[in-house]
Amino acid sequence: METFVLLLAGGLVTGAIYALVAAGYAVLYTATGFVNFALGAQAMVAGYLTYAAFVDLPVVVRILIAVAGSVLLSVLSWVLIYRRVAEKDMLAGVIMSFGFSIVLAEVVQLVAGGIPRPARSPVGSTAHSLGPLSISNHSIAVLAVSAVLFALLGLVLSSRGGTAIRAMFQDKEMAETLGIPTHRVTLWLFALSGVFAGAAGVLAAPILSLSPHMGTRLALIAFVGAVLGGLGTIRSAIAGAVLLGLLEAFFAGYISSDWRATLVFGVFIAVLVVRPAGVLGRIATVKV
Amino acid sequence: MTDTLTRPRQPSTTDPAGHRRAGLPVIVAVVLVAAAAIFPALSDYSTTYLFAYILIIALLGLSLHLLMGLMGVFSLGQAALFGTGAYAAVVVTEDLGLDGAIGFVLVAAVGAVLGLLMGAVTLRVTDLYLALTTLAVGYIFENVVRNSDWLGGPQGRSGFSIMFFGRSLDDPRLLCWIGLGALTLFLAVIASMRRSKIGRAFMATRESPMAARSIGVDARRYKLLGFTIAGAFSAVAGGLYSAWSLVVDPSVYSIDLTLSVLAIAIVGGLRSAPGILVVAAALTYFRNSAGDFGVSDYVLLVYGSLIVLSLRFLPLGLGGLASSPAVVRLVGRSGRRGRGGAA
Amino acid sequence: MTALLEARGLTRRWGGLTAVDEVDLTVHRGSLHGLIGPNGAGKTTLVNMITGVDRIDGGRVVFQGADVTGLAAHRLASRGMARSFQTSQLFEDESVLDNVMAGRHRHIGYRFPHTFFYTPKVSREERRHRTDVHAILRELDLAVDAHRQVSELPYGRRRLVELARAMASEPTLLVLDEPAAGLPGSDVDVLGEVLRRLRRNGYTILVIEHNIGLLMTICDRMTVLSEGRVIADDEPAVVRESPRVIEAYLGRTDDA
Ligand SMILES: Nc1ncnc2c1ncn2[C@@H]1O[C@H](COP(=O)(O)OP(=O)(O)OP(=O)(O)O)[C@@H](O)[C@H]1O
Ligand SMILES: [Mg+2]
Repeated sequence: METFVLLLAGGLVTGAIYALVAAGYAVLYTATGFVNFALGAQAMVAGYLTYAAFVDLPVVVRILIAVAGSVLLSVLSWVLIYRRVAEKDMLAGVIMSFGFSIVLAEVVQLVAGGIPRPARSPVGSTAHSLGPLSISNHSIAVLAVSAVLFALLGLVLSSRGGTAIRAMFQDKEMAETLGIPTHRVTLWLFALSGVFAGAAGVLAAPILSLSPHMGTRLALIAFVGAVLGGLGTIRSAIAGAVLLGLLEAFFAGYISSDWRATLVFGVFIAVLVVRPAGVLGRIATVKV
Repeated sequence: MTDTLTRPRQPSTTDPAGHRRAGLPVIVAVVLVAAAAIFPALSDYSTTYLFAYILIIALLGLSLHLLMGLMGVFSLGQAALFGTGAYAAVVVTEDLGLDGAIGFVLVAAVGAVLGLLMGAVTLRVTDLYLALTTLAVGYIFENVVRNSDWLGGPQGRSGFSIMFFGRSLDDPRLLCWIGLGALTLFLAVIASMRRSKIGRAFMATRESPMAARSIGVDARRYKLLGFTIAGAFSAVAGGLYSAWSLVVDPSVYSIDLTLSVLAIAIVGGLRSAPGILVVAAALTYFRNSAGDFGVSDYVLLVYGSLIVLSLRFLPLGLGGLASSPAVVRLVGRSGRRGRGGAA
Repeated sequence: MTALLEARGLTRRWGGLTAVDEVDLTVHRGSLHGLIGPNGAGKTTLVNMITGVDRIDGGRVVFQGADVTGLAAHRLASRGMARSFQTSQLFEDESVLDNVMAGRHRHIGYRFPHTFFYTPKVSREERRHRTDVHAILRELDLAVDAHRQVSELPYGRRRLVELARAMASEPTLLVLDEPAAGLPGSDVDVLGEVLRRLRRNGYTILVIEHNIGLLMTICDRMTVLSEGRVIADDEPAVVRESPRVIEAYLGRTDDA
C-alpha cells in the first residue's frame, strides 16, 4: 500500500512535467499541425537560465527570465526559422525543429559544459508525510503549478480564442475568410507553448538535474505521452502524458527500472500500431 | 502528399530518354568505382582507415536516399538497423564461427527482416509518427542490449576478430574493398530500381498515395520492399562498423549516428545519390579530423546547424543545387538534344 | 448489351449527412455513361466508392460479373478500373512520360529480382511500354511535352496528362471525374472528340461532368444525381426532357 501511494505520487509528478511539454505540443498541433520538437530543448534552456545562469538574482526574477527566454525562443524560432519552410512542407519544418533542438543543446554544452549539474528547488525539498504518503515540497509545487497552468489553459481555450484555434485546425483558409488573423494567432500559440516548455524546464531540473541533452529525452517522452492520449485534442494529450508518467513509475517500482525505455517506447509503438489517434483521441477524418 | 520534403525543379527519377543516355553515367560510375578500388592499395594506413569509415557512413546515407528521397518515408530507424547489424556481425562470426563471406549475408538477412518488421509496424502511420516509431525501435534495442549479458551489457563486446575469406578484417584495405563492393551493389540496385517499375511505384506513392493505388500500385507492398532493402544494407554497414572499430557497445544505437546520417542526407540532397556520397565523405572527414583542428566540441553543433540551414536555404541539398535550372542550362545542351532524338 | 458495372444500393454517410443514398448505377460494356448533378450531389463520393478510394457504408458493386464490394483501390485497378481525379493527383515533379509510364504499372510483367539489376528483360520491356506510352501521348497530342515536367504545363494540358495516365493502364472501365473542369472551350471540344474516339475504340467510360452540352452530345446514357439520390437514368434526349431534372439541375444552371 505504501509503495503504491509513493509510486502514484511520483508518477503524477513526472507525469505532470511530461504533460506540460505535451500541452505545448498539443497547443501548436491542434491549431497548426506543426510539432515543435525543440520544446524539450527550450525547457532545458529555461532550466539553465533558472539554476545556472544568474545565480545572484532573486529566484522569482530568474524564473521569469527563464520563462520569458523560452517564450522568446519559441516565437523567434517560428518566425526566423520554421515558418517559411513549414508553410510549404510541414514535415521539413518538423525536421528543422529536431535540428534546432540539437543546436540549442550543443550551444548550452559549449557555454555551460556537458557535465550534469544538480539544481536546487526554490521551494526546497523538505519532505512531508501524510499517512503513508511522503512528498517533498518540490513535488507539491510541480503538481500545484501544473494544475494552475492547465486550468488557465482551459480558460483561454474556452474563450473566443479557443474557437479561433479550432477553426484554424479544421480549415486554415476558411478561418482566414472568417476574419481570423491566423498569423497572429499562431504567434500567440507559439508564445503559449513557450510558457509551458519554460515551466516544464524550471520544474523538471531539480528532479532530472541539469544537462544539455535532458531536453531531447524530455521532448521525446512527452511526445510519446501526447500520442498515447491523442495529439488531436489538448485534453487527451495532457491526460496521455500523465498516464505515461504513472505507467513508468509503476513499471519501475513493481517490475524493473532497467527496462523503462523498452516500456515507454514499446507502449508508443503499440499505440501507433493499434490506434494511431491515441487511446483517448478520436480518429480524424481525412478529406479526399 | 506531405511525404516529400521538397519539390525539385527538375525531373529527378528515371532518365526520360532511357537507354540512349544511359551510357555516359554508367561509364563514369565504373571509372569512379575502379578509382576507389585502387585507392586503398596506394594510400597509407590512416587514410585507408578513414576511407573505410566513409564507405560505412555512405551506405547509411544511401539507405536514407532510398527511404526519404525515393519513397518519401521519413525514417529515423537507421541506428536501430545499424546497431543490430553491428551486434549481428559479432554474433555470427564470433559465436557461430562463420566466415564473413557467409556471415555478412546473414547480417544482411537479419537487417532485411528487421527492416521488414519496421515497415510492417509503420504501415498505418506516416510522417512524423513514422519517424518517431522507427526512432523508438532504436531506443528499445539499445535498452535491450544494455541489459543483455550475452551481448556484453553496457560495456559491449570487444576482442573479437571478423574474418573474410579467411583473412582478418583488421586490414583496412580489405574492409574498404568489401565496403566498396556493398556500396556499389547498393548503388546499382537503386539506379536500376529508379529506372524501372519499382522506382515509378515509389515515386507514385510518394507524390500521391491515392493516385498510386488507383493505377494499381499496392503501396504497402512497396513500402515493405523499400524498408527491407534499406534494412539489409544498413545492417551490413553496421557489421562493417564492428570490424572497423573492434568494439561494439550500446552506443552503436545512439542518436548521434542517426543525426549525422540525417544531416548528410539532407545536405547532400535526399533525391541525389551523388550529392549524398560527396557530403558523406566531406562531413565524415570533418568529423574525424575535427580533433586535429581543435573543433571536436563543435561537431554536433555543425551537424544540427547544417540540418536547419540546409532545409531553410537549400531545401534540395547540394544535389538539388547541381540540377538547378542555371546549372542544367550550362551543362544540359547536349542532353536536351539526346532527349529530342529519343522522343 | 451486357452490364460491365452494376452498383446496387450504394450508400455513404458523413456524420448526419447521407452523401450517397441507395444509389443504383449500371454501366454497359462499350458505352459512354454520363453522371451529372448539382454541386455536392454526391457524384465524386459515388465514384470514390466504386473505385475503392472511399469506404462503402451500404450496397454492393459488381464489376465484370464479380462482386468487388469493398475491394482496395489497387486491386480494382489491377482488375481494369482506371480513373482520373477531380483535383489533380499528378506526380508534379516528374516528366509527363514518367507520369504516364506509371499508369502502365499493372501491365509490366518483370518481377523483383530483375528490377534490381536492370536485366535485358527489364530493358526490353521498358522499351516496349515506352513505345506504347508514346502512342498514347501522340493520340492526346501530348507528345511534344513528353519530357517536360508536369508542373510546368498549363492547366488544360495537365488534365490531359491525367487522362493519359488513366488510359495507359488500358482499363476495362475508365472513370473520369470532371475532366473538362476549367478547360477553355476549344480544349473541351478536343476532349469531347477524344472521348468519342475512345468509345469507338471499345472503351467503356463513366464520366462526371458539369458541362451538360458536352455530355448531351457524346453520351449513350446519363444518370442524374441530386442530394445523393438518382433522379433520372436514361438516354440524353429523355433526361433533357425530364421535369425532375429540369427542376433539380437544368433549371439552375441553364443560364450558365
Ligand atoms: N470527406 C468528407 N467529409 C465530410 N463530408 C464530405 C466529405 N466528402 C464529401 N462530403 C460531402 O458529401 C456531399 C457530396 O460530395 P461530393 O464531393 O461527392 O459531391 P459532387 O457531386 O462530386 O460535387 P461537385 O460537383 O462539387 O464535385 C457534399 O455535401 C460534401 O460536403
Ligand atoms: Mg465532385
